[in-house]
Amino acid sequence: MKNKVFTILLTISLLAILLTACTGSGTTASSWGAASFNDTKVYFADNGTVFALKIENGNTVWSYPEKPSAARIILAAPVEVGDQLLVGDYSGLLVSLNTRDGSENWQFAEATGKYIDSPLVVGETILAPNSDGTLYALDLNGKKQWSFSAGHSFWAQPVCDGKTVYAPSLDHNLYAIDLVTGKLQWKTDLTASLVGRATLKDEILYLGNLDGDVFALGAAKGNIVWKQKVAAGVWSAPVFAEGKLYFGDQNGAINILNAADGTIDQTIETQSPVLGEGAVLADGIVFGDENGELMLIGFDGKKKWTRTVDGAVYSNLVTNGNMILVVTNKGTKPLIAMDAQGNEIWYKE
Amino acid sequence: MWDTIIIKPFINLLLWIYMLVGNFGVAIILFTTLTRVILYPLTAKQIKSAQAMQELQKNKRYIEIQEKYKNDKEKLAQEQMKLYQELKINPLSSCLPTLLQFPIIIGLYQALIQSIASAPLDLLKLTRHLYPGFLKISELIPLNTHFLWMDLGQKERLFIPGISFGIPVLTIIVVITTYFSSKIISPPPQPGANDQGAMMTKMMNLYMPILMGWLAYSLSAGLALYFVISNVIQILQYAISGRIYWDNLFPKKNKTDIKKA
Repeated sequence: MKNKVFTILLTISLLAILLTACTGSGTTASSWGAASFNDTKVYFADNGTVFALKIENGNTVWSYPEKPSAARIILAAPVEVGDQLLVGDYSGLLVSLNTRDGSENWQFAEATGKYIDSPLVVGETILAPNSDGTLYALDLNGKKQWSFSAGHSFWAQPVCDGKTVYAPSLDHNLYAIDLVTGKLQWKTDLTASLVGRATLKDEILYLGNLDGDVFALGAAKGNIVWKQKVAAGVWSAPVFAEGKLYFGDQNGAINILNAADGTIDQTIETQSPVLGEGAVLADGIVFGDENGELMLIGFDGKKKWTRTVDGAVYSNLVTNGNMILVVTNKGTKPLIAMDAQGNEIWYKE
Repeated sequence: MWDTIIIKPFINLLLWIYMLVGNFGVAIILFTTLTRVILYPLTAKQIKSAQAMQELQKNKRYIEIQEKYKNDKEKLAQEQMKLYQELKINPLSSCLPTLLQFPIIIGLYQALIQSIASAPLDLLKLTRHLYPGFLKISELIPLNTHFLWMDLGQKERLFIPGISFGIPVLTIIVVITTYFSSKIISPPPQPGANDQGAMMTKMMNLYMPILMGWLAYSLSAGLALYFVISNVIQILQYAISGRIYWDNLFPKKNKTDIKKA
């Protein structure tokens, strides 16, 4: 009898584990990690933990939280401002950490959704986009200044020209919001969800939507300057370099458009989707794709080199000119530091 | 294979219903109802087989075999098998429909959670699961996941002014409906039937609501809504088949008890 009771309990427990695992919720990360860096440290958000690593060898300086919880998911790239490191998680908690030792300065817990992307810091203002459909503006002590609600989630970090904040939303709109008051200046419907960041250059905003439409808008009024269609959804900000826009799409291509009129200059096929933003190096722009292939596209549109890493590369690539940080999804090396030629310097296990 | 046969059709059907009705909560209710109706032949077969097994326990020969070979399990199994063959009963036919339903139920969970797509990797998967030309991503995303007081992509809690914590209303409903459905569809133990079976049923009736309640509490509201609707439809299906045992909920006092009182 005891054996049968045990069997029932075991079956029910296994069922619970199976259902939880199948739904992909709770402990399973439903996005990809991200990294950022300064002159001495690399900050890496890897599922439940934020690591501060030495830039020269990747050794851990500190990690946060002290006891990681499988239920707490942190995937947005940490943002450094002064001696603070801003970290948003999937439970709606935005935390300021001391960059020296990772201890907590303050918490902002008003959001009810996920911090999918990093906050943007403009002067003394923190702009934190949340999937609860609200853009939160805080001062550097974590005190709310204003909030702006959209029709749906904010997944992407906004851009700002010092006066106006431009925030793309999943509700298809690009919002222009006054930095000081949080009041809406204008909004433009871009016909499909905006999951990636916008690029602001010379008072023109460039961004793409999930339907593969790429837009250039006037920053002053939100008027569409030009519109171009690419093969599939655009998940990240176009990189502006030498009068051209470089960005990947979900079908597996790197698109090069003329920024002036949106005409397609070149399309470079890759073997798999290119979702992350490219990183600008001295002789080109490096992109990563879902198959783990990294490629440097020269400013002449030619492939300079390719490297392969284990795992998918979805995250934005970041660089300081000499070093490229590559975050992999389900790879054996979750974070790889490479030199400008794509050679591995170190990796984080 | 799993994606092609189960997940993709489920996601496309669920989202197609959503496009028709414009509300994800209503879409989940219609989708759950539709799948339970499609699976009804399996449920009916399961009910019929369970009933046959129940009646077998009253069979004189069956009781004799149990008594005679209670200390020889091998022989008991052989004799039981003979009896099954004579009476043309397949003991597996009551659990086979359940086993067949199980992957479909898992598929339902996955389709629901992937359709909600509340984070980038989920959305990436979702866009890949849509049939080209069938549903348009620009019209579909973002889903309106608000239903009544809930965001179906988040854990369900009802916040009432003056109370500092959220009340998990849907979790409570899941626990109640699971308890009700498991209680009233379980046939009452037959006189002479072994106590182990009755005890196991009793334990299942106790632990299943706890399990389902825990899942509803910790997973998204969309799944909790699915559990509730699924339970209600299950009760209806058993009621249609005439296999509801209300006495399990409100046991009548027998005459001896009344006299004692």
